Amino acid sequence: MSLARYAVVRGIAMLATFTLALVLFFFLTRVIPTAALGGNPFLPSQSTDPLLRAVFRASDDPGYSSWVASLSSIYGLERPLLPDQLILFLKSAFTMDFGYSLHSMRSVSLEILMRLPYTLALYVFATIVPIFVGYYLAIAAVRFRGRVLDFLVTLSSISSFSIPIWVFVLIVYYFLAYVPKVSWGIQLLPLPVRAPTTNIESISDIRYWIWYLSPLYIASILSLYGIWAYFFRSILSSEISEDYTFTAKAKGMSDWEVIRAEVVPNVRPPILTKVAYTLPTIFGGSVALELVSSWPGIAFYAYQAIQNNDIPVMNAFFVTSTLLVALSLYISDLAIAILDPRARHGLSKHMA
Amino acid sequence: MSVEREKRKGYIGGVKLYLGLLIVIFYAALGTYSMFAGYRTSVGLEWEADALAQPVWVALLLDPEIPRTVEASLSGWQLSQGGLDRSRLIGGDGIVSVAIQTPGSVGLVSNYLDYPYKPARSMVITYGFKVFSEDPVKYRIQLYLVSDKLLGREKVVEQGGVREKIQAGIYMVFRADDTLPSGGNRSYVSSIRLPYPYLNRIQDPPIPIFVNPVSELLLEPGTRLRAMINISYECLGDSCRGVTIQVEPVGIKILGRAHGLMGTDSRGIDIWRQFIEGARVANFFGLTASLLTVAIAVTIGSIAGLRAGRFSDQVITLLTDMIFFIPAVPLIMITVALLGRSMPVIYGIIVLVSWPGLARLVRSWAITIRSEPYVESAIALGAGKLWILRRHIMPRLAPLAIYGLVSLVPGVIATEILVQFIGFGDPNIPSWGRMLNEAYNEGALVNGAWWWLFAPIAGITSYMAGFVLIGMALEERLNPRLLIAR
Repeated sequence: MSLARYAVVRGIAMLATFTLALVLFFFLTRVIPTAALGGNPFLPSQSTDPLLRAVFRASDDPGYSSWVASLSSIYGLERPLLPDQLILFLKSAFTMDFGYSLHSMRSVSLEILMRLPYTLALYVFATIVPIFVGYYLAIAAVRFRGRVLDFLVTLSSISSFSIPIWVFVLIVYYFLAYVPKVSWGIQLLPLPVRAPTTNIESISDIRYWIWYLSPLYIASILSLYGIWAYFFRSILSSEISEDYTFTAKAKGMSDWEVIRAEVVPNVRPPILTKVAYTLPTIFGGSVALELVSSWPGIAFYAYQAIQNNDIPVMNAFFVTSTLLVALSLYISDLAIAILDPRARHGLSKHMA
Repeated sequence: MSVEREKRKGYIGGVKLYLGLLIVIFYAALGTYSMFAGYRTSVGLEWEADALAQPVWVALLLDPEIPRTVEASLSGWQLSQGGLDRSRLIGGDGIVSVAIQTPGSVGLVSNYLDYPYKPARSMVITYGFKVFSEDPVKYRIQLYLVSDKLLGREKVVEQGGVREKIQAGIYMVFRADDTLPSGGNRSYVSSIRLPYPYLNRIQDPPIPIFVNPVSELLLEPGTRLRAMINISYECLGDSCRGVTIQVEPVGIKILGRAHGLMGTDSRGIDIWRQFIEGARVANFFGLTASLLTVAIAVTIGSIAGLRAGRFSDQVITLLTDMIFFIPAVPLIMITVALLGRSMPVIYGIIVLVSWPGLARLVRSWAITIRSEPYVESAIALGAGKLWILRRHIMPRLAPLAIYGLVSLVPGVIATEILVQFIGFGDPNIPSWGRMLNEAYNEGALVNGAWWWLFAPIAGITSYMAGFVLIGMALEERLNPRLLIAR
C-alpha cells in the first residue's frame, strides 16, 4: 500500500471512529438518561431529556426565549431524540455550527476558534517536549547502564509518573512562585492570578503569555518525561542486547554509534505507537492544567460555560476535544507509517 | 551477564514489589481504621481548632508555646454581692435557675478557666438562657467574659485621628433587651465564634472590627477566664411577682493554633481526619472501578482474541478504538453537568473509557495462547469455544488481569481526584480531590497553609506510587525480556 493510499484509508477510518464517538456521546448524555428516567427517545419532546431540562433551567429568564428558538433550529429540541436530533447533532458537529453562546451571545464556533491556539500551545508542548526529554535521558541511561545516572533516571521517572500533571503544577506554583515571592521577594514564576486575555495587541502581550505559561510548561515536562524515560529505557535496553548490536560492536562501532545508528531506528515505531496511545491521557492532563491555572483555552471556556448552563458551548467543547485527539492520533499514525513501512501493510509486530 | 548481577536485579525488582505492597497495605489499613475509628464524614463539623492551625509537630519544632485547643464548660454560678437580698439560686452545678423577686439588677459569676498558652486568636462560646415571667416585664441580660488579670488595663486604638480607649479584660458576648407579656417565656440558645465582626459592636464603646477581642482584650499567658452575667428587669404593669431565668453552663472552646498530625483547614476541621477518609474513598472507589474495568476488559478481550479475524472480533476492535478516542475528562465534565454530580456517574464513565487499553492487551495474549499447539489439539479433539476459554485461556490470563488491575488503579484514582479537584465531583464524598479543591480555592497557597495543600498531594502521590511500583515489578515478571535485558 502506498503512503498516500494508506493516509486516505486511515483518514476514512478515523472519520468513522470520530463519528461513532460522537454517537456514543449522544447516547451517553441524552438517550440513555432519557430512557432510564422513563422517557421514550423515539417520541418528540421528552421531558426526561437532560439537555431539555438544562435548556429550560437556563431559559427561565424570559430574555432568553429567542435563544431557545435558535437552539431548537440547530438541535431540533422539539423533535424526537432518535433519529432526528442525533442527525442534527452530527450535522452541527460536522459543519461546526453550534449556535450562539448564551453567555456572550456570539457564535460558539468563533469563541472556540479564538481559544484554540491557547489550548494547542499547551497540548502540543505537553505532547512533544517531554518525549524528547525522556528520549535523551533514556539514551543516556542506556549508554551508562547500571551506573548512578541510570539509577537516577529510573528513580526520577518513577516519581515523575506517579504524580499527576496538575499536582505538579501546584507544586511548581508553591515552590517556584509562592515561596520565592514570600521568602525573598523574588517573582521567579507567575502565580495564576491574572490570566492573559484572548486578544493579543502587542509584543508585551506575547511575552506575558509565555511568562504565564512557563509554570505549566515546567510542570508538563516534569510530569510527562518520566513515562517516556522509563518506557524508552526498557525498550532500548531490551533492544541493545539483541544479536545485531553485538555484531555492530564486533565491527568496531562505539557504544554511542551502536545506539544512534543501530538501536534507535529500530525502536522508533513502538515508541510512536506508545505516544499515540498516550495522547488522550495527555489531552486530559492539558485540560486539567488549563483549569488549574485559568489559562483561557477551550477547556477553561467550557468550564465557565458549564457554570452558566451554556449548552452549545458544552457540545462544541466535546466535539472539538474529540476532534483534537482524533487528529493527533491520525498524525501519529502517519508518522508511524512513514518510519515503519511494515505498518502500512499490516505486518508490524507493534501494531497488535 | 553474571549470576550475581542477575541476583542483584531480582533483588531490586523485589524492593519495588515490597515497597509498593507496603504502601498499598498502609493505605488499606488507614482506610479501614477511618471506618472503625468513628469517623464518618467531615461534612458539617466545624472548629476543632482555629482556622489554618499548624500541625502539632511543626509547632513543637518552631514554637512550643503556640496555643492548643482549650475546652471547658463554665458553671458553678454564684450570686454577686449586690443581688443576694432579692434573688436566690435553684439547682446545683449544671443548669441553674435564678429567681429574682424585686425589680433591679443581679450579677452571677462562674468559676475560673486557667489559660496557659500564648494568646489564641479565636474562641467558640456556647450559651443558653431561658426567661420566665408571670407578669409583663422588661428585662436585660448581659453575658461577659472577664479576665481578672487584665482588668484595669486599656487598649488604645487610633481610628481616623480619634484616639479611643478600650477597657481590656472584659468583653461582652451577648446582650438581650426585651419585654415579655404575662405568662410568657423566651429562650436564647446560641453558639458564636469570636471575633465576630457584628458582635464587636455591642460593647460600649464599640470595638473596631480590626481589634481582635480574644487575643487583644482577653487572653495572655497565665490568665484566668470566667463568665459574668448581669440580669436586670423592671415591671411594665403596676406590680409583678418576679422573673425566673434559667442559665446553662457557658461552653468555652479556645481554638488552638496547632492541632493534630496535619493541622486544620479554613473551617478549623482536622485535616488528618479528612486525609484518612480520603484514603478510604480512594481504596473503595479505586479498587471497585478497577475491578469492574478488568472484568470488562478480560471478557471482551478474550472473546475478541478467541474469534480473531472474524466479524465479532472486528466489531469489538472498532468499539475499542472508538472508545479510546473519547477524552475522559471533557466527557465527565459534560455528563456531570447534565446529569448531576454523583459518584456512580463519574465512576461509570471512568470505567467506560478505561477498559480499551487492557482489552487490546488481553486480545493479543489470547491470540497467542489460542494458536499454541496444545490448544489447537484440544480444538481438533472437539473442544468447544467456551471450554477453551475457561480451561486454557482464562487461567493464563490471570497474571495479566492482576497486572491490569494494579496498573489501572493509579489512572482511575487520578481521574477521579482530578474531577473532584476541578469542582465536578460529588460534594458529599470526602475524597482527596475535594480536599485539594478546597485547599486551592480557599487560599491555602496565599495563606501559606502548606500542610492543607500537601496532605492530599502526599496522599495522592504516595498512593499512586505504591501501585505504580507493584505494576512495574509485575511487568518485569510478566515480560521477562525487560528483566534479562538489564
